[in-house]
Amino acid sequence: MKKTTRVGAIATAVALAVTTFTVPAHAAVTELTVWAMQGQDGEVKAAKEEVGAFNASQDNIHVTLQFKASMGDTLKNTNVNGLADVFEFDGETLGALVYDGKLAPLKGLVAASTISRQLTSIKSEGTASDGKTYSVSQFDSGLSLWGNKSMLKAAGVTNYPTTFNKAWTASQFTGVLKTLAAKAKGHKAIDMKENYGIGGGWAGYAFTPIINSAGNELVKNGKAVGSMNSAKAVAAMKVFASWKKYSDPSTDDSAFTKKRVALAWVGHWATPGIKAALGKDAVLIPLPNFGNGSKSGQGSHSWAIGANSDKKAAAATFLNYIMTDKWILNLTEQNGAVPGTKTALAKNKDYAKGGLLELYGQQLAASCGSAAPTAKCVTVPRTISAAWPVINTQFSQAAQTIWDGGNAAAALTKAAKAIDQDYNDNNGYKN
Amino acid sequence: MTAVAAKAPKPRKRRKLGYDNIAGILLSLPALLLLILFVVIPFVTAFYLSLFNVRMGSSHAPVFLGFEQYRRILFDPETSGTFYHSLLNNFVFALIVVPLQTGLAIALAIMLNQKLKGIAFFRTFFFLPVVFPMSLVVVIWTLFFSRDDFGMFNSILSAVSGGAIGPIDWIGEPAIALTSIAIMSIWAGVGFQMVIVLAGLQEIPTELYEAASIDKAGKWLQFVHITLPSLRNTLVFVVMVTTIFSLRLFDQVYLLTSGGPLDSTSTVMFQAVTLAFQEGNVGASSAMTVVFVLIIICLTLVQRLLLRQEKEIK
Amino acid sequence: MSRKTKTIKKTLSYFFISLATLIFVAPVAYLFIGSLKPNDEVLAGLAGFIPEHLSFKNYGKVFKTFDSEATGYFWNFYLTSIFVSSVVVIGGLIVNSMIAYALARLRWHGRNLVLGLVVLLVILPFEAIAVPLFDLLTDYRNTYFVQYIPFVASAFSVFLFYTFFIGLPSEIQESARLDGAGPFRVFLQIVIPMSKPVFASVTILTFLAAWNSFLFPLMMVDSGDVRPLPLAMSVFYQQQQKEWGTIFAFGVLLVLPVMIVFLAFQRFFIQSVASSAVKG
Repeated sequence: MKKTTRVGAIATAVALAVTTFTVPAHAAVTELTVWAMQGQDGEVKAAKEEVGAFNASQDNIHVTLQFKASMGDTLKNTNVNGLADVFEFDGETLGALVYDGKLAPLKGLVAASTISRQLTSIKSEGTASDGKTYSVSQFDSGLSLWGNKSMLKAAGVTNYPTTFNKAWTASQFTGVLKTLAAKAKGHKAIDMKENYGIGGGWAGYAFTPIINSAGNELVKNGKAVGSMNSAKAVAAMKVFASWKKYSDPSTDDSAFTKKRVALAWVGHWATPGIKAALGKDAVLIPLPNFGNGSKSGQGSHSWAIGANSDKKAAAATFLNYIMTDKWILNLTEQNGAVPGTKTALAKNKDYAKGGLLELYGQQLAASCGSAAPTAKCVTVPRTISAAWPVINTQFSQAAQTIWDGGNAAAALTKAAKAIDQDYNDNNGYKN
Repeated sequence: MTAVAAKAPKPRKRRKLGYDNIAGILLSLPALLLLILFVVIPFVTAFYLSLFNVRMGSSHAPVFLGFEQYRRILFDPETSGTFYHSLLNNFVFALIVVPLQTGLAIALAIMLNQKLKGIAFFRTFFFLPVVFPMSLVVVIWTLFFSRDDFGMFNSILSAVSGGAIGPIDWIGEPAIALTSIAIMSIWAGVGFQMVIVLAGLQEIPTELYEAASIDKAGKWLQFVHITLPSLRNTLVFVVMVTTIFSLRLFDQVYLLTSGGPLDSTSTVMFQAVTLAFQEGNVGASSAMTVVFVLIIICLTLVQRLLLRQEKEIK
Repeated sequence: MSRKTKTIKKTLSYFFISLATLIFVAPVAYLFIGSLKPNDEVLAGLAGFIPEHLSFKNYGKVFKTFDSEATGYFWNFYLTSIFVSSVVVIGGLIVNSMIAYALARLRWHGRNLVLGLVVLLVILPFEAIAVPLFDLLTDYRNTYFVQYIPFVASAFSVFLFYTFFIGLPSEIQESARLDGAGPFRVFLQIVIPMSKPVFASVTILTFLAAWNSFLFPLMMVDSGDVRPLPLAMSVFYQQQQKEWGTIFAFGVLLVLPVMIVFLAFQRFFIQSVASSAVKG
């Protein structure tokens, strides 16, 4: 889809002329363009801080930081020559980016120690189907239930699990929701973060664990039919839909922090707000078990180098710099995410034994990696494939349909067929 | 649109025909070039792309699929459902919005056409929402539609009924979601139509009404026999513009409901954009676009034909 | 009619007008009040209208969010919207009135063909060509250029000009032509001065459409320095953790200047929209 129009050629020529004239000839400084995701306030602040410190520490490299509002679209819609030297992206799109030839393999560029120090879960997320590492991350994600101890106690729910191998079964969990809703003023029990938009992609991260816990994958060996829409998956998603009556729509994003409900199904990014609102009343509870053990999600913001960047060495220097524990901790203390190296993780007391976020660490340590999830592992990375945007959109829309009362089997089958058709159209996304 | 047919310039014989020829082409050229570059060529491109499996931003060569995308959209029972549902939503939306919005615009215009002190002050308020971008309108109305007790409409319902009517999920119930979007759109757009109708009203010679009063014709009869016929051209314009806007429905859906619940607010444009930008399937999206444009063109031709016929009967 | 019944009728009229106005203005009032309230007191049903605990804190937060090159500055969103809308309006007035005049008053080869094309394009919704247009212009992402260039020529504006020009009395133009004036002079010195209403209403229509443009910037712009206001609104809205007060403050900042301009010129606006668009 490359288009070289005459206008394009002229524009490029003009741009070249302009840059030639404005960059002083003697400057030996490498100008590095970095795109970061415009996430929550703490993340924006942390990105500015690490870039500022990096620029101050370097004589020969200068980073220009740009925030992108929806990085997924930006990367998808920009062709490889228009990309920044370094960019942050949502790890779930790695497969598509590699398939489109937009990422540079990091081996030989980024220091070997930078990669080896990363959490095992992150290593598996950064590795594409060709076995090469394309991304590094400052943090991984945590997904589970948050509980409000006082409210749980008030409703008589005292026996809640805090480790994944003791997770509630799905039917126990439904019972808990029922108990909680009966006691609550607004007859709601949980904040499922509907306000994120289930059909808009939230389901792909948050509710895929339901399918995994039922013993299935969204896509198995490049085929969704028979896996995503298997009888067990359909049954599990029906249970999921039955929770709608207990779910606070949370239009204000704060059903849990305002103590309207005793449970929340949300990721690590809610941690700072929950800590502030609930203090010692907050507790992490594993996601319910649909038969194959409690499952959870993993994968978050990653960093990569543009495939056609002509400043790859400088880009790698920047990545080595921000992947140090100092900057990892600076960021994760502000966004509540799981620090991306074992050493950084050890420095944060929330992840120590009995710490508030210990469960997140345990779950990620039991990562299923890229293999099929077993009963023993917990976190499942999102399918690393160029088909992921389609898988995510289709599954999320199906989840929304089911949530809204649609037929679960029909919705999942329709989604699975659409995914298989897409694989088929693209020859299985083989490079 | 009727004017085009009715008032085409009479052929004139003139010695400067050659000069006119050059002037005409020169004057037309800039706009014509832009229209060709940015409307005609993209449309032709859409048709071309629709014959391939083209991925957004991909480095892989497009694969020729022929009319497969069209078959999937129109005839494949597995995949055509969403398209037809969306197309139906487009029409249902138009069917709700066009009469309601036009009717309301007429009512408001008549109300604000009274000779009262300070009436201009009131008029202003009804035009205000027109300057609100849809992205802002949606933000405000999200809180009106919220399905919990704190949503504005639910709060009003509960206050009015003394708590007897429980909270309603205004944009989460398949049966009413599209209507909710329609109401929001009418709020945002009716002021504009109102102004146009108001202008039409002010052009009606007062003698007509005076004569009618002498004949002791009631207000309703005056409205039916004087106001409406005099507004004919105005209303044709208003209906045409509103119809086009309804068929284009995208912003509200994208920002408010993402097509849900159960596809009840999905529209063709929403599907086309989602296909291209979320799933990266440019080919399928282009095919949908082409089909949609053809449908709109057919509709317009029918509309013009009907209007012309009406004129002939008169 | 007695004076008494007249007074009663008047009072009733005012009552109904006020009631309708109140209902209509409620969302706007809600926006303004909410922008001054603490974040968690906005989504509160009818209580959202109660003006209490007011402060300008939310506004401070908005400006703090856009305080560097990396995020884009708030005033930049304005600049973008104003610049892009101006180019669309001014450029559009020039090229669209020119072609409309040529179609309405001159005889030239291909006139009927072009007229047919324009009529056909009037009904083509922009959304229908947005995706391929995106594809063709992908090299120009994140520029002002890409935001205005597809919208300068507009079949709808041409159509409005055309219907107005055709309705103008032709005698003066004819006699000027017989006196030896060329078509350009007739256009500039006779037609344009007679056509102020249509220029005014095309200005307003085009401006509103350009100012509220959403889909194309959504596709084409992801960088803070060339982001127009409507897109800035939705980006800000999607990023915030639903701090409604702050989001509303952003909304007020976004819409207030246009509202003021509109209020200042409202009589002119309403008159000119009225006087041309409907002559068809």
